Order: sequence, then C-alpha cells, then structure tokens
Amino acid sequence: MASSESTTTSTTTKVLRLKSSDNEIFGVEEKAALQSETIKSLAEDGYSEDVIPLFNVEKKTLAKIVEWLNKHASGSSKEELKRWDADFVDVDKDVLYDLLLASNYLNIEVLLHQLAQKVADMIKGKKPEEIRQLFGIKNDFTPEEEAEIRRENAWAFE
Amino acid sequence: MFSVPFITDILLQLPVKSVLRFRSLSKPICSLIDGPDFINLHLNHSITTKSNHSIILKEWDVFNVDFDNLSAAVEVKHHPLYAGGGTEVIGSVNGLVFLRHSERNIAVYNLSTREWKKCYVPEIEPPRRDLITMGLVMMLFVMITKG
Repeated sequence: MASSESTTTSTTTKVLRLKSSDNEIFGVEEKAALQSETIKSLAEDGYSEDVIPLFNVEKKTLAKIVEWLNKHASGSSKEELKRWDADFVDVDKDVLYDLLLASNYLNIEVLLHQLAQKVADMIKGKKPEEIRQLFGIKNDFTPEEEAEIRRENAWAFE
Repeated sequence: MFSVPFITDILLQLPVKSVLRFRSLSKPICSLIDGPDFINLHLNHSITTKSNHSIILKEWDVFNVDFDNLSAAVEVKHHPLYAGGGTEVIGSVNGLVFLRHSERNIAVYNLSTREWKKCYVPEIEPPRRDLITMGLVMMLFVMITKG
C-alpha cells in the first residue's frame, strides 16, 4: 500500500516503473503510463511506489507499447499522430498479434482500436480460407453446413 | 488463436460484405456475427465513423452510390421487388429501405446485407355503414356453476 505521506507529490513529473514478463524495467512518465487502464488500476492499488509487474508482456512488445504511450502523451498535432500511428502499426503479423494481446491486457482502448483497424484492412478482401490460415481458426462446419452458409450470402463471395 | 474480444473489435471495422463472407469461418464466429449484440455494435460503429453509408437515388428504379468512396451510381437489381423499373423508395432508417412497387407489393430491404421481408398487405373490405352505426359487439358470457 502507498504511504499516506506520499499522496501529495509536488509538480515534478512522476515516473512509473513497468516490469516486463522477462524482467526488463521501463521508466514511463505517469501521464503517459496512465493511458493504460490496467496500469492505472495497478497504480491506484499502491504499486506506483515500486515496480509495476506486467506478467503478460515481453520486453520487445513492452518497448513498442511504451513508445506508443510516450508519443500519445507528447502533445503532437493530430496530423502528426496520424502519420506516426500509420507507421507504428505497419508491422508484420506476429508483431501485430503481440501488440493486440498486450494492448488488450493493458486495456489501452485507442491503441486496441488502431490495431484492430489495421488487421481489418489486411483481411477485408481475403477469402475465408486465407483468414483461417492466417489466424489459425479451426473450421468446425461440416462441408454441407459450410456450403449452406455460403449460399445464404453467395454475393459476398463474388 | 484470436480470443473473442479481438474478433469483435476486428469484425466491427470491416465492411458488411466482408463480415458476411466471414460467417463461414467457424461456428462461433458465425453465431457472433448473427447475434443482436454484434449487429447493434456494427450499426453504431458505422454511424459514429460514417462508414458503410449509401446514397439512394430514385429515378425509374433504385440506384445506389457507395458513400465511402463515392463510386458511380449502380442500379440496385438485387432488391426483392425488382422488375426492371417502377419501384419507389418510401423511406429509410438505419440502412433499412422501404420499397413499394404497387399498393400490394411492399417490402423492407436491408441494402447492406441484401436481406428482405415482403410486407403482407391484408385485403380489408371497407366496412358496411350499417355495421359501423350499430357498433356490432359480441360478448360471450360463460357461466360456471359450482357442483
């Protein structure tokens, strides 16, 4: 628990220390870090004085996330952020998946939305078979059931 | 591999045509897409992000312009009342279009999913005057006697 004396910290920027699952520690300004609802509630639970453990995020992913948090707390213009975000999500499928997992766990809604948008753009023109392969989705339809489902929206396959 | 919250987040960003195609991915994904929660989320998402919008033009028949990329107007030939012309649009709300071809030939059509329901128009004869003035009410009393 946080001690009661430390609740009135002055205007100096407070730095939270985030620890990845593989024990790398990242210092992040509080303002940036609190964009994550998960970090926010951990900080409120009294972790803010020491290291906040993030058991589900590896350092290579946490480094990217920290980069995003800092950029989005830097007061950049909307246009610049838009350009920056487009570059940020321009990564391969595996990195994208790790970032999705991490932003879901850390509950950073804006980032989760951006990543979901990126995945949607990647897959919107693809065939179901390609999507299954890409994401390891198991087809549990019988061939008859699948044919029936396809028939219901045959025009969507044109 | 993808847990359900992601799937929902990703599917919400997709155009309706892709969503319908991905019903065939697997049973859980199909029932997610067909569920009322997802349908509402997708509708709200389309409204807030102004995506999946169409402009309907009415000429001799119904024409549709994809508002997202302002493509050329295409004649809507896949609607249930299509007969080469003469269908009017009576109104629309949340992507549902009310079509009329004649007094008895009316349908509600979802332009995005291409689903439709014909509206049943009951044949009601105008009531006879003497019956209106009499106020014909029949009441049936059932007497129950206790044994």
